[in-house]
Amino acid sequence: MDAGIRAAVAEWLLSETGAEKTTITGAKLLSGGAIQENWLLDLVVRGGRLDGLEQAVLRTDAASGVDESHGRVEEFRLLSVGFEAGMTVPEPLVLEPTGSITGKPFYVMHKAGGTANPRMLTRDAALDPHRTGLARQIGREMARLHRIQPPRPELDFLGDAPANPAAQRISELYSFLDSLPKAYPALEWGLRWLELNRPAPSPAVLCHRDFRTGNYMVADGKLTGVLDWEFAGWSDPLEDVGWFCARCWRFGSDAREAGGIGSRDDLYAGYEAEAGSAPDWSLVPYWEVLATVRWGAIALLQGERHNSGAERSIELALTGRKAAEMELDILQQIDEIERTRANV
Amino acid sequence: MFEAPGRKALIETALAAFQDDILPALDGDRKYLGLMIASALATAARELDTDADPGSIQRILDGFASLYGEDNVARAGYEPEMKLDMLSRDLARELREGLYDTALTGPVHALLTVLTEEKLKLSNPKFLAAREYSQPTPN
Repeated sequence: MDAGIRAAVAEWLLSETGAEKTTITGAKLLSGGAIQENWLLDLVVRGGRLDGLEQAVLRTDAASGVDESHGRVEEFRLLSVGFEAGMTVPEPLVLEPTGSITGKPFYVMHKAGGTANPRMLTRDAALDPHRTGLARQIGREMARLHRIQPPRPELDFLGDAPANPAAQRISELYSFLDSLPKAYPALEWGLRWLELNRPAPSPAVLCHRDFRTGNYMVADGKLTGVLDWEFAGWSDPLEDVGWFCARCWRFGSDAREAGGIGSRDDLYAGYEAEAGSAPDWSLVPYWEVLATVRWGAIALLQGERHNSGAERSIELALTGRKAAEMELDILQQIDEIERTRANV
Repeated sequence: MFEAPGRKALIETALAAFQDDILPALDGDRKYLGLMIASALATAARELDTDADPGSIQRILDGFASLYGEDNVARAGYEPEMKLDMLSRDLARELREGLYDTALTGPVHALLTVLTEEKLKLSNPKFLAAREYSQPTPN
């Protein structure tokens, strides 16, 4: 972030927050964002509504194109809604929606402490004594999120809530596959199964739709912030639970069925305690299959961004190749579900 | 390829040097990039083997033959890659049309398992052996 942009952001912050003095003394690009950039700002703020703030995160678009995800303006509103609902998210502070200050929209939020690194969160033995508490806390966070129901005028960009979220997801996934130059019969097979086994629809609520290990911060065994809201939408609450628990998001720690970080029972217990009732947990395996098909299809779309020449990147190229892992998962998961059914 | 070392040996030598001498010195984002580079090189080296050995694609075509019959596989194209592409498209369409609805976990499942396993032997053999997802996964 060059000195000119820094000064412009500082001046804008000053006028937006009614401060007497705002200086950005440091700006460091944080890791882990292909579509977005996160800058950790060191600040000196005197007066106004952010008086005394020493650090904050500025989030903006990366140079590369943005896919189907929400822009920063929408993300700021989602974060605000989550924050007001009592979720642990980095508190959103100020939004610059016009792009006139730095050339692209951005917002500033509180910094969430700790790490989001999935390798560390799923493997570090130092976290073991905290795993029960962490899984329960994540369950509570999800239940708080799912209390947000349509309609919400400030979230009108999400469109109407689908009458049948699973049906909508399936049709989106078919169109993903249709946009690819090759055929992927194992993903087609999984989608057909999802279509034939679609559960009765439950009312759509606000879902994060990328709530997985790697997208929340943890410090001292506690969740400090749910991040990356750009895929949020109205859906079946179990879509979030299935995405969180799907084997492909356990980062190899398969035995910890809740995101590789804790037990499924603890996640569910936390959810029930906050929600005051239990969803039909027997449907979660269905949503795990859907999650796996979705991640497989997204991986192929990302690979295609590289293959088509639109955006050359070793990360995108390798992500496309990962899809076969999801394909095998789908074949095994559904086979397991069908076997269990046959034995009942 | 007339010179020694050949292309596969060159990639393997480069990969070994990279893993032994460069990768350990990296951390943070550069470590992540380094792991991706190593993974891409290792995959490319494995696939050079398959180019020389038609067994992989033949096993998939045999799988298709057990579902569609030898004749239909023979008619599907002039060379194996083209056949595989055509047959995969046919199967995808038939699945969507519901042709296998009554027996999704029957022979079509067996064929799809062969197809997927052969892909994984190239891109990530560790996944087949020990369910080890390819690394690194984006944060």
